Amino acid sequence: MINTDKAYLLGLIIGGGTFGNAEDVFSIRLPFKKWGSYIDNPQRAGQISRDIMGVVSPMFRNTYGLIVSFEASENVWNILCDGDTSLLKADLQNYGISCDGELRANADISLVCAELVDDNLKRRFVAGLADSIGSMAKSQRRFTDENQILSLEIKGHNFKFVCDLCRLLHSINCIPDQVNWNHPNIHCTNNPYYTTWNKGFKLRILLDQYARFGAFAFRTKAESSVENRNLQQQTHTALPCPEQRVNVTPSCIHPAENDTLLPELIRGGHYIHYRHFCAVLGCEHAPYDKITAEFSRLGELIIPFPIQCRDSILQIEAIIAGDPLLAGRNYSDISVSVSSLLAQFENDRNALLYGTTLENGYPIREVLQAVAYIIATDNELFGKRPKRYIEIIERHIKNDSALSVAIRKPDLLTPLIILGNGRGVLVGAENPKVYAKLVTHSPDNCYKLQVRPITEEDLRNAE
Amino acid sequence: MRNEISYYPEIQRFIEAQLKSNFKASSKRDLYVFWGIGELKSNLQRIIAENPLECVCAEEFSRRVPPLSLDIFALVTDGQRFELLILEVKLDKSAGLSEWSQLVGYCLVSGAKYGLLLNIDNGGSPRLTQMLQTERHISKIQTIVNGEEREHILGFMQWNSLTQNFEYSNLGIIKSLSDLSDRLVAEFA
Repeated sequence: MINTDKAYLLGLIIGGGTFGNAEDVFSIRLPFKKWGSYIDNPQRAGQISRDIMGVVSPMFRNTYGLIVSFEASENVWNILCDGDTSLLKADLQNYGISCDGELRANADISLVCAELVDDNLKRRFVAGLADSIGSMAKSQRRFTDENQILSLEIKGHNFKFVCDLCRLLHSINCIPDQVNWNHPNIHCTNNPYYTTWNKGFKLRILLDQYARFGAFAFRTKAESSVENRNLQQQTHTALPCPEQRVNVTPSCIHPAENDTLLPELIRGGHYIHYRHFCAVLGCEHAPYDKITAEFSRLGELIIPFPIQCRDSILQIEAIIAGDPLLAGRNYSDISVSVSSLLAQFENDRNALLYGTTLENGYPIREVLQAVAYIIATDNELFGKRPKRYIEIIERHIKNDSALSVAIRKPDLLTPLIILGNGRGVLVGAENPKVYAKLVTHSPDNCYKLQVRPITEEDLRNAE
Repeated sequence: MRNEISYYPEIQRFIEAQLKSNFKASSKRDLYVFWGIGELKSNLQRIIAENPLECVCAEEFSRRVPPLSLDIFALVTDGQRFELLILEVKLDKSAGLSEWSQLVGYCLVSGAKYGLLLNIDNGGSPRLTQMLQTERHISKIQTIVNGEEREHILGFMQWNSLTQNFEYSNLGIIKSLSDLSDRLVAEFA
């Protein structure tokens, strides 16, 4: 039978618990990284150890008769629970949670959630999760210090877990501000050749909202919450999901949309917004009307080519060679003045280049970002991203007003290729009438969009 | 600088929420928790007068209980049976044997079955800690009053005013609020 202490411990265990073959021990991984590093922050590390021994240890001992110890490496803390784990395992199995490996990867929390019969029990469970996988690190901040966030970080591909957790948070008014689903349409919206999309889920809640309705049991977490909230000038309140704005921007089709790691319900679909997942997953809080309203302009939102793929020339050439549609094109090599491109941009920021109609062509802002990447010095790049691309272009034109870039223009509206400085960029065209024809609705789920690959015929027939 | 009394509301709220949740989760019934601060007898009578439906079961007890000044107490009832929980709240660097003795005294005099010594943001003194670890009989006291057997079950916990949560000390018989809830559930079954 659930109680408030078990609810907290289950949150902690489901958040970070890993079971191995040993019958009498399991661990709870706390991925505290720099925030909890005993090298970067020894004072906090000392407090974390007190939290483990002062909060977690007595609760485990009273509830399950387990003895707690811990080990800390530079980035990770592990709570080790020793003793007869049969009572705990029986509880977990009773809730349909199998004690194999990392629990959050496969756990179904729907039975646990059903047992959380009031808001207080829900809060205890959420506190366990927040203490284990809740991050308030600087990297979570949205652009400024003004919007402090608690991010629940969940590895794996357990979309149902995230959806159930989101519903649970919603039910106690900890309305999530944003869900970063572990999906290529969220983690790489511009580049289908970017393969490291598998970055985990982030369920983000405004810290003010969490402070009002959620809870921490770790003193260190509560202290961080107070410190971070003190950086804000105002108090922020989350809007209920259906009232939140849905701002959809174009995203490219990614081959990993069909990855077998993704659950069947999600696999094979293209998602135009993080709230689109909520609709496909059937969440009662999903903004169904706002998502379906966007379905009228899918040709503008779903791009079957890279919106922008920046890499070395060698890598770009390999990509072209590996794609018959790109390799089979006739390209016109042209040299284009950078200042003329900038002038075009300043004249019309939404201009489309080299199109066959007024509605299609390569977006000038994407072309300019590509140009900035090509002409930038190494220290003007953040990885493969040009930092403040217009400023880069203006700086380089100032040094050389005749600066030009080499562009390879295909005979059909496949990606434009921009080359130079050992670097290359593919820029996809906007072509909404053609792209709209690629999209269908799944017969099993009217919100799930399926997109077939584009063919040469699609592009030719459009003209 | 906060004084001890300023912590009473948050402590009351937390304990009440845990007891009610646990009772609801296991019995599928509601538990009622009524709080009194200060004198026991008059407060009990006030609570009964204000909530006759839920508290009539404590009427006879309220007539015979002696007047007694307490920090906080709770009348916990399912409408048919009741128990008294006494809280001795301290804001000390460490709570010691004299504070424990105070709680024991209050429980013995009032007949309250459950007692908790709570220190705010601090733990117990080394001597109290050692006593409670080795001398179980000082947290589970059985008496015979007018031929009637009574039991007093006590525990010691630390209130964390930042997290608004208890840190259990494992000292005394009542190890946790879930443990206290289980006892109430068993009694009210």
